Amino acid sequence: MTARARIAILACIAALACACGIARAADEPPVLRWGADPSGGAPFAFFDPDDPDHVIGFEVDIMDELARRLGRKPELVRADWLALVDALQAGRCDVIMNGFEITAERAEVARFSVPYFRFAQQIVVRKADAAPTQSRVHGLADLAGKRVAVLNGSQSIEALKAAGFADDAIMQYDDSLAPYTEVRLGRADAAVAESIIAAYYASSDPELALVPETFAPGNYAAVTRTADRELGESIDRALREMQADGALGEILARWGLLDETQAELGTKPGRPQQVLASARGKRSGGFDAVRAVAPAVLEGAGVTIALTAIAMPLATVAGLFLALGRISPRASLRRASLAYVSVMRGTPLLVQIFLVYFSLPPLGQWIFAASPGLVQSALALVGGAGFLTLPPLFVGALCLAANYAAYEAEVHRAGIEAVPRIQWDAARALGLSRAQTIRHVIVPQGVRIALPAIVNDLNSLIKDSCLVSVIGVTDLLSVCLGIGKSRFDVPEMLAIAAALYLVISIAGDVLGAWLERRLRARGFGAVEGHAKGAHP
Amino acid sequence: MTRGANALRALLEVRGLRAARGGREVLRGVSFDVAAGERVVVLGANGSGKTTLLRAIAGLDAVDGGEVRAEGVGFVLQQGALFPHLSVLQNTLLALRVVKGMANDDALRAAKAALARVAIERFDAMPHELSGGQQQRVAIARALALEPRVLLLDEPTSALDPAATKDIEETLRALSATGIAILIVTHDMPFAESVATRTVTLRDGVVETR
Repeated sequence: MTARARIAILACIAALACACGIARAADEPPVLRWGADPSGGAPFAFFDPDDPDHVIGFEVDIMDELARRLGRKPELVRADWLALVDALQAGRCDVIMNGFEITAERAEVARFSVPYFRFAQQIVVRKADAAPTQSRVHGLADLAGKRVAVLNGSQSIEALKAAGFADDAIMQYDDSLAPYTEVRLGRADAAVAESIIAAYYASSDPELALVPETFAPGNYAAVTRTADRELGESIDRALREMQADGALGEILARWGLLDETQAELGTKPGRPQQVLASARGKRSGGFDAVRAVAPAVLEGAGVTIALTAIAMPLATVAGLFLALGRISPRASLRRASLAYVSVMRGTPLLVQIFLVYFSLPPLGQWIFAASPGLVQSALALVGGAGFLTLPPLFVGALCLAANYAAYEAEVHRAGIEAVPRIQWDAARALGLSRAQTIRHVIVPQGVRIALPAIVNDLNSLIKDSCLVSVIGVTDLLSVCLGIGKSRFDVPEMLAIAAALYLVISIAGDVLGAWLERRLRARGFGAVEGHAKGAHP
Repeated sequence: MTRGANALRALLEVRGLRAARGGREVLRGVSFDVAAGERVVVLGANGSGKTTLLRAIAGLDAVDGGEVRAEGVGFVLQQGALFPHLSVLQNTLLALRVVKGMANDDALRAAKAALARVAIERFDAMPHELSGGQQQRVAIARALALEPRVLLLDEPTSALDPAATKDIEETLRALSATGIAILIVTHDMPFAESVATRTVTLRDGVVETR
């Protein structure tokens, strides 16, 4: 690929990213952006096992109906479940509907709607432990002294603590499927989760059994910003309507979730409908399965490649300038570059991605509010107060670039310092200024020396790019995980993801080797050129 | 070509040059001239300040006192110090374009003329493809392209075989014949004796007078 072609591709990606922002700003029907984590699992909002491009679930159905009644168009905003409230506060979505239990703690930072679903905690154990003849586990009391697996951040933790379980007996997992895998593998003795999840997973696994007794009931509700009173109240009205006229009952029945406790919330039964095949974990197999998941997986791979293709060139160029800052005769530049490199290398990339993603929107609003009118009207062209509310893919790529720039800075610095001192002298003796020497003599040699290390970093960037899934970017790993959970085949999908990462990283290595060959073909005998000259 | 040095105008005048390196006063008032057509070899034991002297004259290092008067100095560093990422022609072109801001055609003509003076024709070769002697000659051409009146060479024959050394000597003789003043630092005594029209010996930081 020529340099021009590469630049063209980058420009297209950038233009596309801008277009997304502008298109959203100019959208005509009012959109209701609702937050959920589709990789969190069924039956809330999850990837359709037979068409992983689509997100389905009972909450998707509720939100469709709710938005219809509000005269708005629902638009799903994906984010990691634990980051959903941050996404709401940052203005990336207007409402969250994703199995959020009403708690006093959460009610302090956001507003809960009227509840749309009543749940209770339920225990899942290995089938042998629930054998009717022995009946080892009837309820919570039988789990004393055992290890219990739960979903991180869920209400189950509070319920277990209230029942006297010690912290180290509660094993917390970030995804909803993991606790059941742990029980099946014997690393945990039982899993406790909200009945809706427990029933869903236990019924699909022949080795697991659901303990009938439930405890610690609670309610799910939609979450809006406290300041967004009007929206919150209109959602309340619409939900009450849906409960009263049977629409909510119908949706719950459709997903097999309309138990008798729902009446406690005032949910009237609707006409029972046939349960969706996908809602019960039935899935196609063999070639059909490959055909079903391939488009989404390849799209995820495309996102991973796009992230790398945007981030690595940016990181390489930015790193070069940082490296020049590090060797600058100006102390202030040296200090600033060093500070940047230290901070970016010394803090976790995951944290950087979170912080940047969630602080950009309020920062943009603040800048917009503080700007004079002329600047505001210019900013209005790129989204007004939301001009820094950039698409997750864009933010993710920028964060990766900013982080890797710090590493590339050190790689470039090592490359520049490996250029023999006499090259500086030779350039100066010819009358080149310091800037001319750096540009024409030092950097071209330093980059060639640094290239193998840069290619090495390209390889790790490809794999680190999966971290941006926490802000809802549907990259290769998150797509595979999401599909794996909805198809109950996480290991298989992870193996597919690993294989594709391998393919992409080998392609990166091939590209790097090609670049190195090309530079050598242009005659750079590396630094050994000097050595050879010295001893002919 | 044996014209009396004193009959010609000095192109390089060094007067009372003083310089310290690593806290030691290496040059303690060095004075001498080099006239057009002369090939002066600087002799002296290791550490006597020969390289320091060349770098001071070329303006690469600061001095503590004294004066250097020269009309256009070209400096050929040890082993040529060619830019390994640039071809022979690009090495010669770089300063013409970047420093002198010459147009492409003019720069190209000047660079090729300079390479012709040292009998190098492999314009597109990369430095590592050349022999040590050829690299040294390209380095001389790179300096010549800027049309200096004074040419400084630091150990031009180190690590060269006798044939290549002979080539360099002939190149330098041809250059001085055109009126360039040449100042050479070398440890290669046979070369020094053969190439020099005059020698200057540094001892205890000053020019030894006999």
